Amino acid sequence: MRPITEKDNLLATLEGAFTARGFEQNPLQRKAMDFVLEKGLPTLKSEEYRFAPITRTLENIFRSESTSDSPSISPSSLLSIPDMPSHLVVFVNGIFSPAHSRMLDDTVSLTLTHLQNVKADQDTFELLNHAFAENAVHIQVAENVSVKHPIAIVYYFDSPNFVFANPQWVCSLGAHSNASLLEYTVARTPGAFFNNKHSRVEVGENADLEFAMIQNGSEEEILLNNSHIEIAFSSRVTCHTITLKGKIIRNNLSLALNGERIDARLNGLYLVSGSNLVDNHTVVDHRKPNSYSNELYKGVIDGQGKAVFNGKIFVRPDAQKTNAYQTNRNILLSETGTIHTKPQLEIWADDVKCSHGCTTGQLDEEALFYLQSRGISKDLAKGMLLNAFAGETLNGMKNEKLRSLIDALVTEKLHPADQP
Amino acid sequence: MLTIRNLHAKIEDNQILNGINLTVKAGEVHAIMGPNGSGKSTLAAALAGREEFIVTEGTVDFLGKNLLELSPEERAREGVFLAFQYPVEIPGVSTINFMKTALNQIRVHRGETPLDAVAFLKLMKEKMKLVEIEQTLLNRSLNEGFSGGEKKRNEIFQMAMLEPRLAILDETDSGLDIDALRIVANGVNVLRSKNNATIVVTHYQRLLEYIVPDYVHVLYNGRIVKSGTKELALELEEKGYDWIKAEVAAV
Repeated sequence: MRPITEKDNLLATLEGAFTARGFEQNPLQRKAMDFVLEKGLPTLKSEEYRFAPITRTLENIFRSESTSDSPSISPSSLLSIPDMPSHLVVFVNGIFSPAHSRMLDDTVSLTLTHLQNVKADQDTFELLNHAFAENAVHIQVAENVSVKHPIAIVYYFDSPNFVFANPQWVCSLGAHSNASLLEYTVARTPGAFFNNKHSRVEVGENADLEFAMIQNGSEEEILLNNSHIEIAFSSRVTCHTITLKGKIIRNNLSLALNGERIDARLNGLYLVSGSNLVDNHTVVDHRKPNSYSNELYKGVIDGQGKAVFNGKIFVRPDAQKTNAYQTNRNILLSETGTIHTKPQLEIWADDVKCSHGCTTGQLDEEALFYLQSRGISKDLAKGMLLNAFAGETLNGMKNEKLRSLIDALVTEKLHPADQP
Repeated sequence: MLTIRNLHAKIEDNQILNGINLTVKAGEVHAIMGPNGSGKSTLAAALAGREEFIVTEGTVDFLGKNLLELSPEERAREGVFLAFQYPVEIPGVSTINFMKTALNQIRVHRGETPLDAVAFLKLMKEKMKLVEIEQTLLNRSLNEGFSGGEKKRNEIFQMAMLEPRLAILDETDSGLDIDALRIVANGVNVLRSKNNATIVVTHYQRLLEYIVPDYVHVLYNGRIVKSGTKELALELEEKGYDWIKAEVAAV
């Protein structure tokens, strides 16, 4: 038996909401909820969540009565990025909204689907998502298709009350096709919300995927982002996880390299301030030989901000001739900021090239003085150095417009008062 | 232009400058020589405003302003330029953007309008010729992967762009082959005018064959122990620094 603890209140509330919405009628949702009840929500004693007090935070702010009520109408101009025509897949307060979603052409199609199964060993929040998500949006790109415009998955929040959102989507990218996925949050509410998101992308053979997650929604946001990418033979996948805002942001990003000759890149950038937390857990799973992965995560931590980087790399016995690299670099701007960084490499094959490295330091005083000695103010010089540090993670971004948009957001966050 | 009186400075607990007195007038070139560890680079850094060097005594007047009260960027805007002995590599900051930002901050300080991209590039092309620097180099990140000679030429290029009133060249000759030395010295000479002044900090007399000083000062144990004209540099080249040390010891 699981010991009875204070978190049982939250579990009881969740179970009540689950029953009230009639979700127990669906066997798969019932099974997912049972797993959640059995396992309990993770506490700081749970290895995977030892730095992320999500459960504790939820206990204080969780309100079940108002979730998913009255999705309101919002102008679509709010939802899309200016000057960037995009296919839109929109969730309003966590619920998929066909009325707000639109495909620009027939290279992409949307249907509703259901999960096929749930397993006890899944992440507990992911199971919670499966318990509360009635269906999943299926984004489909056929074989041999080049999708011209980005496919934007938008989480729109405008409820005055606390929202417990469980969006769920899957994307299948056909063989020899290419597409760019973009995920972001638009918050038109000063209140808190918990976005407990699950997504799964299946990348067919010899396909190209760029997937950018722009986490810039709201200072009150709690995000639990479970993202899985399954990659087939000879495909190229680039992920960008850019975290600029949020009270607690937890990313569980996993890439399964199921074929040979895959090229997988994971870029992450997190700018943490206030007393916010950004926790990136990544898994790169090399299951077949001759593939390449490269992971670069960088963070700037200010105030009492806290960041966690936990990078797992698996190289399975079959995966000979794997090249897998991982780098995590951090700059602490304050004495009260914290970074916990932990590479975890599990290598069962004997003919592989793997490396990992992490550094944590302060802003380079020599470089700062050099810029100042040419007449550049200290604040601007700091901003330039931080921008340069952060910029490396954005270099792999193929969408130039997106890159310059993110550059501007990063600049604004790093030196709001002193832009050139 | 520059009047240094009784300047004392330390880094952490090491007292390095022990009472420097020096007056530099517009149009003059002063060479500061001395053995390793005598405080040459400390003097250069203290004038540019490096924070680690704490001034414990003395005053520095620059064009009527108390230089020691100004931040490094304010000193640069007033017209002080330090050519670094070891220019810093800054990945991710393009040389051109850096130069444009710096120049425009200085221009705004002087009450001039900032240059737009076209005017800036025109000026840049003009100044590039002075130090025989290629644009491909300037398109790269600041000093990143530059050779020693390229870094020093980039310093003089920056000096040409910013047109300082007082240039301090800190061991600009170190690590340069004779061709690079000639190019760098030529750049400095072209920029000399009756309105600006140059302080050349060097260990060897070699650079002074190209940048001919009006005055030569020998720094030892954080003090100027001997001053003279360019002949003093030749004497030092011939005899080394030991006789200076002996003279100081005798006093």
